Amino acid sequence: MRTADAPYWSFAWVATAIIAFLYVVPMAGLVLASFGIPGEPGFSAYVDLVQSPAVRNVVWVTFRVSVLTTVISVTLGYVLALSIIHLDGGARSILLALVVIPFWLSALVRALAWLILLRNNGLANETLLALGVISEPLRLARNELGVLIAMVHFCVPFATFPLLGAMTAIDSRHVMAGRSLGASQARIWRDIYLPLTMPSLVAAAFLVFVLCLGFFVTPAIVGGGRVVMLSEYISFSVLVTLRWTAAAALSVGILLATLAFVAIIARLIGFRRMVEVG
Amino acid sequence: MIISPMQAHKRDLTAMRRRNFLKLGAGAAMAMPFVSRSWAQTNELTIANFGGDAVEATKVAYGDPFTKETGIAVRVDGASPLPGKIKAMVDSGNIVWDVCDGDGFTSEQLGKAGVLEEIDYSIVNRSMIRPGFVFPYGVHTYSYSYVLAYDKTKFPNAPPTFTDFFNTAKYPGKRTLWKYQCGATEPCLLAAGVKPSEIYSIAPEEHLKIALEKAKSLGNDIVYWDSGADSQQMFIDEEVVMGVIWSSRAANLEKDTGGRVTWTWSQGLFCPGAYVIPKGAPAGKDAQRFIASVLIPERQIVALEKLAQGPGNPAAEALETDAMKRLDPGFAPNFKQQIARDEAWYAKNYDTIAAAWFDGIAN
Repeated sequence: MRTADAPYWSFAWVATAIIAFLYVVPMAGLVLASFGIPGEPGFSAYVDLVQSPAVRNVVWVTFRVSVLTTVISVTLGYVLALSIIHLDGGARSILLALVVIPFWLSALVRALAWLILLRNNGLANETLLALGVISEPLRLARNELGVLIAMVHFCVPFATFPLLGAMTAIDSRHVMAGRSLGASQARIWRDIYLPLTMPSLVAAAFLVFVLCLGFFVTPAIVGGGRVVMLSEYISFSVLVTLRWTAAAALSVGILLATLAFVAIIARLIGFRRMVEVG
Repeated sequence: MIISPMQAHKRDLTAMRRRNFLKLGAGAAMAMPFVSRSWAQTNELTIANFGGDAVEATKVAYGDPFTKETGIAVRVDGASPLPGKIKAMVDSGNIVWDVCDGDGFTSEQLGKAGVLEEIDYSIVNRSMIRPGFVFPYGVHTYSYSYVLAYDKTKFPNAPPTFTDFFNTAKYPGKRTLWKYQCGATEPCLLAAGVKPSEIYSIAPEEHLKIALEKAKSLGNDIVYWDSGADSQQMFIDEEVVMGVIWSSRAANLEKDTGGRVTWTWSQGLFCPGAYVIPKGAPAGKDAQRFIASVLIPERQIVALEKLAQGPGNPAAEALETDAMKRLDPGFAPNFKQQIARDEAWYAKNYDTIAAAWFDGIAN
């Protein structure tokens, strides 16, 4: 560090200290609460967490929905990013706008909109029925399928943008070189695009997965009571059934799981590359 | 009245928009009431309820007459005083709400946890409260009910029963129950042949087991409503043919659908809503005085008219018009047909049963 930088570093420290304080203190409170402090200290909440079939079920549903959403979103995001890169002019702008616009709408509005579209007598079913494609309404909403559709819609931009960034950064001369050596499109994709976008692909998947773990509004509305994910369960425990210790333990559980996940990804692709997305 | 955290969350978001001069994150919504006290006048009383029409109606029915009498300004905060929020507020030591809307059984739970003031029955007149619904930590000021609402075009001759509710072969179409157990397990038990008198006397585990089995027997023909608005929407969109919903919402539906949707009081679940006072509420005895004033029949009638909340004071019945009587869960002929929710049972078991139900219905 050069001495000239020193004063600026001190600015950064102030900001870091404030953020650390605002995070560390409540987090410490949360961890203490999960051990029943203040109150009756102990590990009972964690024991219950492991033993309770209810919690196991909620964790499993959250994990399953998050993994599925991540796989679908990242796949769609990859295809979208690839198309955007290869289009130009108007078509490119339109496609970009279609990805960006939903990004600006709140999760609540989108969840309600999906419900209107997907429910039994919603636009999707009515159209299919009118066209004679189906004879009775498909069950698209108030179940896991509905939640998946709405969550994927929410997550696609989060997957598309990092990938778009990575693809824009690919030196076009690599592709030209490949082509000049007679490689097919598929080969170019497999040997050039895929390896060069792989870190972003993993990072995008990581971003979407972590986002999914905390989903609250979408499953609560579109799930119709059939899909209970961790956030809703925690909120219910805090606000209605007053099981704060259990809620805190569950929150600490998700936090640890997320951190473990970060650690694994960081080991796989390197921490630096993970945060340098896009 | 208990409501869902989801509904509370939506209300928080609305409240945030109203207060958007404070550009804070969503997490601050819950902390907001703790901030606003410093701006409040000292001679003011704050009532917290579940928002929507209840804000204005509560002010007109109870707040304004109280202000006229005492000079104490009454502010109604539609910030959804769920039990967790009341406890958090009392724990923080910065009490903003003087009176909160709750339930008989939550008053028992929170009272025993040391979160509420005891009701001073030297100020609140016990004889003005419906007999059998007098609680140490809350005053039953209004009633509501979980009733079976149905589409009249599907049941033109007679209202459905809970046996019909589970007979999808004879009556096709979807049904709805509340996601948060209350008013949802009872119909399941009744349909399974449990006597009304035994719903709360059998073991809670048994209660839950029978209810879940019955609810799951409906397979994909059951959907669960979250907020009151949600339950109304399902009927308006003809997504469901019947469902157990709040009587006030059923009344709204009857009006909005021109009578296509209506309800039966038969085997409804009569519930005592209750006003509670958080421990250390700044208004002190004035909060008790306010609650005492809520029981005045003329004021109760206004709340019945505006919100379809049944008067907690049976004396108000004398002032009811025929249209009002139809809406009042406590009106004797309606009351007789219903089952009263066992508040002691709920105080003891709600946390466990509701969590298990909430989880059990998800598959």
